[in-house]
Amino acid sequence: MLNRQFFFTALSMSLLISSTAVAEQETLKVSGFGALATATADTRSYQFRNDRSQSEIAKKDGFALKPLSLVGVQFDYSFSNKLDIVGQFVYRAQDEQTIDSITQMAFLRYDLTPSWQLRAGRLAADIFQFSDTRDVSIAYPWVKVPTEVYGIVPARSFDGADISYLRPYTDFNLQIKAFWGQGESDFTSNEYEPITFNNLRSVGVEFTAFDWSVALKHTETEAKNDNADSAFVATAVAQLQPFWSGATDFANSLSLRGATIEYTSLYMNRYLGDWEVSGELAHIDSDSLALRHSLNGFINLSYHRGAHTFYGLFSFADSDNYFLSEEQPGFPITPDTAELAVFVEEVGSTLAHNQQSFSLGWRWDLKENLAFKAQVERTDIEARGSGLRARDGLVVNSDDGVAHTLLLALSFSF
Amino acid sequence: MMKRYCFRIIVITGLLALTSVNCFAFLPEGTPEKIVVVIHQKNEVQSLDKKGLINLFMGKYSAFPNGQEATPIDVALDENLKAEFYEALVGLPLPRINAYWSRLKFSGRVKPPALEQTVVDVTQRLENDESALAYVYESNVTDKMKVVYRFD
Repeated sequence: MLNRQFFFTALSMSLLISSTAVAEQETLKVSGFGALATATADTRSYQFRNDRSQSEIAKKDGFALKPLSLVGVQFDYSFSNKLDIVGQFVYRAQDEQTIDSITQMAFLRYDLTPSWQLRAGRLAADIFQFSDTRDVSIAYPWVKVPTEVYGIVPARSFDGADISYLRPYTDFNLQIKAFWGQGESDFTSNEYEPITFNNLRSVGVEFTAFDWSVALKHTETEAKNDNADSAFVATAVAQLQPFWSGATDFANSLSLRGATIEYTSLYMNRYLGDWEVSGELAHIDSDSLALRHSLNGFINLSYHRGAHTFYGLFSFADSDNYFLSEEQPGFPITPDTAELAVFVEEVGSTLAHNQQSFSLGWRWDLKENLAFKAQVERTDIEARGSGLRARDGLVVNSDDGVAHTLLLALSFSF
Repeated sequence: MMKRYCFRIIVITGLLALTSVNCFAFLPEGTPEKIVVVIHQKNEVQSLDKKGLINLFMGKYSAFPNGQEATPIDVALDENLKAEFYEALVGLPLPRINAYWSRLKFSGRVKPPALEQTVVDVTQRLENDESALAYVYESNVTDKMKVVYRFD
């Protein structure tokens, strides 16, 4: 990522301190988490992947371990009660396994007072409610976080700093957090060119009581570059300027480079005895055609009985289909530009997801730190909205479809 | 093909569930001894309420009501004591406590309670650390501890 010097300094400090701290076990804590998980779907057209960055997918008639299995180790070395350094390294299926790609977190944490906390370094992305723990499956009831909401979250961590303020009230606690930094999109396949996010600002407000919580988060950033497909299409469209006066402006709108991107999320949960209801509504938008506004969300109902949790989960991703002829009636569609027109619609459709899933699942806590999970998911995919599934061909050519996915996991922590 | 896999998995998990006769119970049977929350004898805090304890042991706030820094202590090897404490505090079994803390810890938000291996270790920690706050059975209270909360 961009702050490599800072990041590797923090990482080196983390490793150095960890290696020299054996004699001081009380100040070094080593912990971790992981999942041995598998998925299979009943379709070859819309195969399962956990998020749109994944190159590893579950194929029909076979159980795939790679999309969901991972292991993470976390080191936490305390210099004092107020200052510590944290490093978290996660191994999962990626085309490239480098120190940079496996480092989820590497930061210094300083508690100025019980109310104020500062962190600086590589921090877990706190865009939506579960985006900072999406890989920690022991922490939530499902086999995976809802793909319709989290499958499009572009990164697992960013480089920068945050400051948080916490104040307890009689009936609830209030926490306000602000982050500033930068980062890159998180693609596990080296076929993708990462998008760099500059000037990433995030603010979050959380009200938490023991049996309920409400969290509102908002993030804004600017994309520094395009992916290769968008750049190619934008360049080709700009060349239509002699035939269409709006070509240059339209080409600029296709580009993600320089575009402002916004992510907003509202999350709520409530415990009612053995029942828990939770839900999140997320909105994504930018001033680029490549990432048009979408509404994503989930609602979950869980029933806890002893070591068992049973749940029903509904999640959705909703965005408008993009039709070039309606949005840009002046675009000159001729035999020579027909293919380009399709590619323009592909740029407008790749990140415009339209699908909804209904899942039923069971979590069985075998031990304090070991859980077995099973989840059956029905996903209805709408035409031109299939970007969250792994498939052959263009999104813009995809039809309506239905996929059933079986997911199984052993989740653990140590 | 998929149906065959599904059937096998359902049968295996069903058998596992049947063999786990105590899978609905994480707490020991019998009447447990009373648990109290204790601090260092010299700590100026005289008492805590349940909300304050929840804040401290569930990572919501890291100071006593008077603003003094607090270090909550968990016991690693006495699972019965730990399970009884969290059941009394928040009504949750240990797996759900672990899930809760996994979210806070592995997101890098909060440090979990400090860990001592045994009640003896907890006792020694309380004698040396004025910020320490721990739960023990009432019979383990010494004259170097101050009881700040009793579970009924």
